[in-house]
Amino acid sequence: MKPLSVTSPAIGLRVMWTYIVTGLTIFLLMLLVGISMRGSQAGWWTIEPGTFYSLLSLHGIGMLTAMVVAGLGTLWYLVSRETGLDARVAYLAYAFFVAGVACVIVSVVPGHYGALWTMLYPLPFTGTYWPTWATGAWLVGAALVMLGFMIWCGQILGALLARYGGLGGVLAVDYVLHSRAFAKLDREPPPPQIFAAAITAIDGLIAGAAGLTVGVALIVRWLDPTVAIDPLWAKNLTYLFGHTFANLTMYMAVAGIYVGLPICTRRAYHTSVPLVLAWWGTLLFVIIAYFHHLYMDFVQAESVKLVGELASFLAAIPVVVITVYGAVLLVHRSGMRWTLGSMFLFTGLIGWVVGGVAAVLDSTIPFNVDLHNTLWVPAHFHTYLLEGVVLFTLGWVFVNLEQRAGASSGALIRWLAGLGVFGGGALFVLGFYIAGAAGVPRRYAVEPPPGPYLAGIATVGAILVLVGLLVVAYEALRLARLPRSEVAP
Amino acid sequence: MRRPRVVGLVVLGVAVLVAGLPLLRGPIELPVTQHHLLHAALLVGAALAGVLCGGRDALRRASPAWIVLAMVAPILAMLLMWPSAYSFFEQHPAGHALEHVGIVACGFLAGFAGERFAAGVGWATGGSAVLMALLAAFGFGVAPPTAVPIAAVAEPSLQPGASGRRNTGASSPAQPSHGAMIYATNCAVCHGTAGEGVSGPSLKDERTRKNLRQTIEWIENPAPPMPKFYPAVLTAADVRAVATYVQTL
Amino acid sequence: MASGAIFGVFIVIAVIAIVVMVFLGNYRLRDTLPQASVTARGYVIRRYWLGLTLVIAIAAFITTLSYLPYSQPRIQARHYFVVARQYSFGLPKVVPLGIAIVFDVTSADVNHGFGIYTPSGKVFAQVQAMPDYVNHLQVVFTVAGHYSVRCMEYCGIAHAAMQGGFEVR
Repeated sequence: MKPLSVTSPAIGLRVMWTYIVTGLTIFLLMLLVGISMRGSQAGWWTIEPGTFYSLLSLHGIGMLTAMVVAGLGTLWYLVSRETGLDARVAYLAYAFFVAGVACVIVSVVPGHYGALWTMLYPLPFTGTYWPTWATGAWLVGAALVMLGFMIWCGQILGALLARYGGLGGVLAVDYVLHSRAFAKLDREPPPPQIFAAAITAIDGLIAGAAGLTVGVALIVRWLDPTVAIDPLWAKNLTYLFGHTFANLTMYMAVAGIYVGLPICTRRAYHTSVPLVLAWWGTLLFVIIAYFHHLYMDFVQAESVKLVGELASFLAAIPVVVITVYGAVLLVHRSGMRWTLGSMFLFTGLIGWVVGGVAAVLDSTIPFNVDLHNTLWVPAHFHTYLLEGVVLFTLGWVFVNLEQRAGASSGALIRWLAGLGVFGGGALFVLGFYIAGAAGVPRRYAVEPPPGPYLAGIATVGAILVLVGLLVVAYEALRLARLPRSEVAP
Repeated sequence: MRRPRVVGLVVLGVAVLVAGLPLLRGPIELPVTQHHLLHAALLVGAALAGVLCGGRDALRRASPAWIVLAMVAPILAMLLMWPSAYSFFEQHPAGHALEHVGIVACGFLAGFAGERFAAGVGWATGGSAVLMALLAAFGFGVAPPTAVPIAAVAEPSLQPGASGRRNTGASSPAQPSHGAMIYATNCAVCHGTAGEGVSGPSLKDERTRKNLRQTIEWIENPAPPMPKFYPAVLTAADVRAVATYVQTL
Repeated sequence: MASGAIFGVFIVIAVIAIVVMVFLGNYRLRDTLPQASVTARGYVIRRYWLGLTLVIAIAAFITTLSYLPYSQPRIQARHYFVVARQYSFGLPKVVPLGIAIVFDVTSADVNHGFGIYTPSGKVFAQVQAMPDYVNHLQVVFTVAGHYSVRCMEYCGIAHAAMQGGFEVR
């Protein structure tokens, strides 16, 4: 299929940087919110429970939206290099995101909404400590974010279908099933980052539809308290959406590995049959794994829980066998120089693997009995997000800045940034892991021992992350101000 | 006219006819789940018609408005499936048929607008409308299969004054006062079922430390870690009632 | 498996993974090899790596089937109704030692979590408390003492204060 046209790099990059800078700004603000909460749990200062839970609600949805926005920006740019994309749609989706975030902030800051982002019906309608208008503002804000996301998915899906010849072409079915005939016709499968975009769009639309279903149901219930809603149904849809939405941030950010690491290592990374099969697996397992959020709802059918457990285990295989393994092969004996870009990308892989081990352990049903809704849960997803998605995003940002400026960062900056962000992050999540293993429950404004002591350690780690990020921000601005250069960094 | 468009219009026509079924059948009564599923079936036809009618010349750049319409249409369809309105519509066939036409229009728009935006997207957005209706059938306006008779269960933790303390309330232990009930539900967990103090301080002889007005003030403006129950959990009358009860501990 | 042991397994695997990845990434980084020779050997090893991870995944899955907490309540088991509500639990005061117990857990308002902690403060068992549904948690207490109960599902402002307990003897 001939590309219809290709978006000019200037336009594509402007969309990408708009999204990434917005995402990272929201992330930094949410990091401050997070430090305030962990410090309160450590007893360093006191935040009264109502405010704590409002902050936690904002932190959850804010962080996820931040990472989604950053990831969508990168993918949009990468797809725009392969086929023409209308930037107006990108900015339209962006407007929906901003409007949604604004509504959510209004619901939390003056509104004091505190039902958390994976709220389970009958929350946020029963025994609440905030006015009902704040509930509506939150629900509308969340719906706007979902709409923005689905608009992005619709645009990308449409563009990929046109460029690669239907769903079969996008998913490289012919390439896998009839590889010899495919090669004879001189056809090429899509490059690896296109699979990241395709799986995000497809799974995103499915998850978004589920999220909008429960979201609209809750809005209707907010307007009309006589409407009944089945709590088990609501929980299933909430997690079908929430689980997929959160996991997709990782699969979006991995495009930074697919395109960024080859630049750093000066090696090529091609689509191969194993890579395509791995993405087919991800397409399926990411969604089906959501059942692992309902292990402790004994009323849910046992069969779907077992399917969820198996999918959770199998979802790890494309990651460790193809993506992470392939990335390590790419780096191995390549002569790659450690710059902030390559360093963040590589440490992000480590964070993904470590978070994955913790996740697989938690999604093992007999272990989940001990770990469910303890601090182990935020332990594993903070590892994925802070030590995975954020690092991939920063790595991608710096690969771009370094390429453009033909320069990279000195050893001191690298050590400060690495120790601060990765090392501080490790200390931070360790606080969660130990507390979770000790049985401290999650979402406790005031924790039983040894929660507060470990929260203190975690807060120290989080502050180190903040310091590291300040170094990172300084260095990013410095590189961005340098004149463009054709020399390799 | 191209063939898919003709087929699409025929399917649309069939969907509109089916939408008018209530005019033939008159008033009915259906379980909400079944009703939602029938609407989902209607959406299948409508969305399919939309996709078939929506195909466009690939080289023309599509307006972004189409993708917004395509994503909003399924939401509108769901709003037309407002569960508490079903009993009204089931008794008023003309309104019911009109509502069906609205659902068909939304489903058609979902498929049509999506396909106008980009080839293949109509299937995704039309499919989204159908998926949302299908999912809604199992919980939107649907109470769980068996409700649990909680009221029939005796609650040992909800018997205030059971330890035989002086009870100056106007009610006997079998009929706890309003203030006692509020205390048991909201306060006992931290202050103990008889005010002896658990994670929160003991409230025994609290009247020697705070009078009624001061107790009310404290409940309305507590210092952490005491949660702030007013005004969202307790009304001013509730606060007065429970403060009165606390004064008796 | 006690959560302390799970944590130990996690640390061991995580450290191994970190060491392996850092080593492979840094090993003779400047003493380069052409990509083709790295991938030639790498893809061979990958086949075994895929086989190993698949075997571990399937074997682990099959093993978990013998340790599921979803046993059917036996008729002879003693049943105790547990009602969670904002912000307390309706619990029995005393529960017998050594026999099969089933807690029939539900909620009067929002979702709660019924988390039972041993006298030494470790998680013993837990189940969700969902309004309009009843979850049946079957346990056998083998150690006497005071067991505390914590709410494990966010339920509102006093979620962290929602506690209870019962004696086992």
